[in-house]
Amino acid sequence: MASYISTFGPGPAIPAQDFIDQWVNASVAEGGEFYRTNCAQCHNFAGSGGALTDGKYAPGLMAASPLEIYEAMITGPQAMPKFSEATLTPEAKLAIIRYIEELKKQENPGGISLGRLGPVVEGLFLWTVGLGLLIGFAWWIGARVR
Amino acid sequence: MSDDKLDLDNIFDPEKNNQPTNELAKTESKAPTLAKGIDHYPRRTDIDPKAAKRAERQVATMFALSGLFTILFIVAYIAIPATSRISLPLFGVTSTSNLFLGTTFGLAILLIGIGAIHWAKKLMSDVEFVQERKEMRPKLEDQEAALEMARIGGAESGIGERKLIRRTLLGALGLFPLPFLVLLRDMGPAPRGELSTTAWTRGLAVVTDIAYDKIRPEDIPVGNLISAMPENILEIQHEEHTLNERGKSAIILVRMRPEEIKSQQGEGWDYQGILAFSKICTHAGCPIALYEQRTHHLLCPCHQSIFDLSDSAQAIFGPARRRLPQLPIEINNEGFIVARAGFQEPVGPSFWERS
Repeated sequence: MASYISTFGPGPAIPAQDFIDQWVNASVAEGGEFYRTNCAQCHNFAGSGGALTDGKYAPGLMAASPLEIYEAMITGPQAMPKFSEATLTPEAKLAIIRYIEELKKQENPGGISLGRLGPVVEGLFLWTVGLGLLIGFAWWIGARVR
Repeated sequence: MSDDKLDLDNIFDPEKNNQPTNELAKTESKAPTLAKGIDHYPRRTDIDPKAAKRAERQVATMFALSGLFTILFIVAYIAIPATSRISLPLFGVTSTSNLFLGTTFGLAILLIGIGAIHWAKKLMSDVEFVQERKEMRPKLEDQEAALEMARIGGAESGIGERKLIRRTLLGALGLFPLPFLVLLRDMGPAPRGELSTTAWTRGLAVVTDIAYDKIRPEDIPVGNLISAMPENILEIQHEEHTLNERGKSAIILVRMRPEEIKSQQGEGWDYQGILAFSKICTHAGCPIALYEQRTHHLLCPCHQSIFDLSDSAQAIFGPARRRLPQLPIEINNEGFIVARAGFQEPVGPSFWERS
């Protein structure tokens, strides 16, 4: 199928797996800087994805393999822009992959992650579940006993 | 001295002054009385001794369980290592120690509370009482004594006769707030041109953010996005010891097919479809780079303003009203993208003196 599609015109080739596997040697600190400058605006600081305009959305990255992440950066699927090899070097892309792989390993020592979407979701959770519980207790304390 | 001299000894003599002198003092506090005119319905626990016994057992069970959870907390604290992890449905991987410490401690205190409320609701007296509110006004004699003391104090100080002291004191008190006004100067010099200008000037090369590489137009395919900075940004940061210039000069570089460009903010400000816009939202100053390469919409993540980069970066949705300023670009003789001029209008959100 890949060769059929390539008859429509040139495009970036699928990167070699040997090359992609080099991500384990990339710098996670550098990857974090590149990620926050180029990726975090759409894909969230923790790789959870986020909303775009008109119902479109940037997917979360936790299920994406290093090869898929690399391919997305050079081809720009759907609404995503391209990040050409000259302006975001292959080394920088591998560092980004290393950073995302580190994100995948992060635990939730505080318990439920709430999708790691940030303070809005955490606030909403407390305003509904937390306040709901408090209102329930208040109702019970004030209810008439039969 | 003055005529209205007072006998100090008598004023503070408890024998003479602590007699109740008015009606208010007599109605001070009333014991609660049984409420009249309310139908009182007995509870099941009032009528049925079995139900009362059951409620008693329930309360006691909750208190006993609370004690058990307190002991479990101590056991969990000692027995579970902090590094231990547990996988729960819905929660994912989490710390075993945190989970058990929080659950046992929370249940221990919650069960005391629930038990106490259950006890109060089912077994304690639920007869309706009325208790009159206590009089809020102080007793008349206390009011008079306070006024009298102020009067005596005024008379003793002689502020009425000693004009020199009175006037210098008023003068001193009047001048005292002045230092606070003078200290307002320390809020720093008023901003001058720096809100309207950025580091961008003619010939300054556009470099990628983080890597700071110069950019050739052939390196940017259609649909590409670059977060970029002026080439001297690190020197400026080093000189100023602030990130202000980074906050003002940040730009994004995109490339679309030239025929897709509906309009731009100046003739020939692009280079073969490569456009440079300020990265700073004109609404509240958030950095924007949520570029959708198919629609050329740029979405601000803070308040959902949308700018159409193919149409002068006009604000087409959301609270932003002004377009994103465009940076005119050209190619220098080494083939790198450079600014053809600085920004023609202030970048970022509105400010008072913005013209």
